[in-house]
Amino acid sequence: MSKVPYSLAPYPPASYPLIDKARPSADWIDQVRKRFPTERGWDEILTAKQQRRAGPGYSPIAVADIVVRLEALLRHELPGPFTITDAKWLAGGASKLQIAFWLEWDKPGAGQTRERLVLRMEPPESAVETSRMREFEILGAMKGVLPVPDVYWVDADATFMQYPALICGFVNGVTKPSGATSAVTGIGINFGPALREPIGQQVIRDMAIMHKWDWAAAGLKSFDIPVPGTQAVEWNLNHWGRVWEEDCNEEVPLMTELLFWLKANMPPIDRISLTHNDFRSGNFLFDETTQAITSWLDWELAHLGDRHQELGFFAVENMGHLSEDGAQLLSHGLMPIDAMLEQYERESGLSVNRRSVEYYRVFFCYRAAVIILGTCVRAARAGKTHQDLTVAWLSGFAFRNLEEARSVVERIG
Amino acid sequence: MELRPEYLLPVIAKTLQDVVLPVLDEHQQVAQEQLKLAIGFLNIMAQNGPMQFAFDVDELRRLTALAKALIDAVGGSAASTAAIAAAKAAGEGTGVAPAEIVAATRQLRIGVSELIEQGHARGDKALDATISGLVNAFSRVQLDRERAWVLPMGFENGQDAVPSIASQLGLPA
Repeated sequence: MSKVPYSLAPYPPASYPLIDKARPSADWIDQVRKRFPTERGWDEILTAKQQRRAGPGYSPIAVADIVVRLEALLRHELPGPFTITDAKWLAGGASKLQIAFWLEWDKPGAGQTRERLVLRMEPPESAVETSRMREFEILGAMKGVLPVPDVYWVDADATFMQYPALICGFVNGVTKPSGATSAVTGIGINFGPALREPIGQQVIRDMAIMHKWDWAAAGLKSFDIPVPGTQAVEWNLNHWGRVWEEDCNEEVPLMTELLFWLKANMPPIDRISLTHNDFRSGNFLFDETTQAITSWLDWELAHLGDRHQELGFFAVENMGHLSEDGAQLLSHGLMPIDAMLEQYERESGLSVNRRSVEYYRVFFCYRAAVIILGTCVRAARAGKTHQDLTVAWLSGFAFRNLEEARSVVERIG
Repeated sequence: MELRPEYLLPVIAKTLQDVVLPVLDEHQQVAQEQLKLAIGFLNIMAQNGPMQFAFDVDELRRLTALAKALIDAVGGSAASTAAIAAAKAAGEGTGVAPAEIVAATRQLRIGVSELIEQGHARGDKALDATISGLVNAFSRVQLDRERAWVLPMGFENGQDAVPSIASQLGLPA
């Protein structure tokens, strides 16, 4: 399937047949699916997104309207009486609608309880399209393995809520020190000299635990299990190659070139691990007093694959910042990447292949561009999210990611 | 006509900054963040707007050169050859509307990406290296331009600096 020109509105029409990506035909959706075979669950998620694409944009929803539906969901789930109070929008989270609320209920094993919970709900189109059922499943499986929010209920098909949603516990903590600044969504967080060492050690410890975790015993029904080798790598590349094909508003020659390079250089996986797939500063909460990580968030992209994927993400230089003396680049604001890789090897007992780390560094830069230059631009233009301006702003981060990918590929060949 | 975007956009941004932002409820964090982003975008649009046409013409000229080089290496389809001809006409024409430049560029981007795919599909290592070299050289310059364009958005972390977009395009600062 060659690339097909698509609508350039409001610019002058092309002289050949157009694909209107805002209203994709069933035939075109099927062509793209066949061109980019991926994990069964992701195929379903992305196909459903295309089938909804021509639907309406996001209209503001009143908190009170959400609470009415939430009560219906909880009446279905809970045998006894309950009370919802103090529901409020949560700041942050450009990809999901999030509301915190207090629930008073007869909690199994605990009796009458009043606790703060979070409703996570999808907008009509998200910066990353994911499944609440997969997120529900992996959050439940990680309980007791890593610090994660307790997860309670899921409305995977929007039977009760406006959109698919899940309900989990509210965890206290911050993503960055009080008063610290960073770009949107946690890019370039500066933890400061006192915090970065203890936080960094915990990040490595948790990454090692995750990669050694016995996922096979957890029975992850929504996850396809790849065989060692390159199957999981290819699924992953096809996932994001497909998203780019379906979402990009204008072609970028380097994106075509990078996908070719990534497919031509797939590293075989020696051990299949659970990878969070967005394991970074900004996606964990910590307690400023105890300096302990209190929760890992945003598990929606988790899949079974290569441990080097996480390590490659930490190697992405544009997510870090220079140390106070300007002498070192601190990976994700935590520590120099060489120190991180050495400590990871010691902590996990697993080997680190530096070429694979560089490979996944390129992959994450490519993926970032898919999301923020493809999906974010399309979603914002169509008014599909609850934070269109944030999503549009993120697109400016694509070019630095692409330059980093380009320079790595040029260097390592 | 005095009521031009480069004059009005900073005025709107300043009003939002000075009058509206301070009276927003401090607990309305989502609203505060969205307003700050809106102010940021208005300022960037005011700063870059007058350079938009020069940016687009520069990109079309370099993209046309890349497309020609790829056709020399890979061989071109009728569609890509036609796209180049249209792009060349748009890029060299006088009195061409800005929207035509954008449309020609977007069509040429499609043609170029198709040529890259077609070339790599042949499994010829020497051809792969040629294509990669051409795309890499084009992209290095293009990304310098694009990073400079979005510099005020604050995504650079000081590792390597890019020259200002005005200097890259040969425009007065």
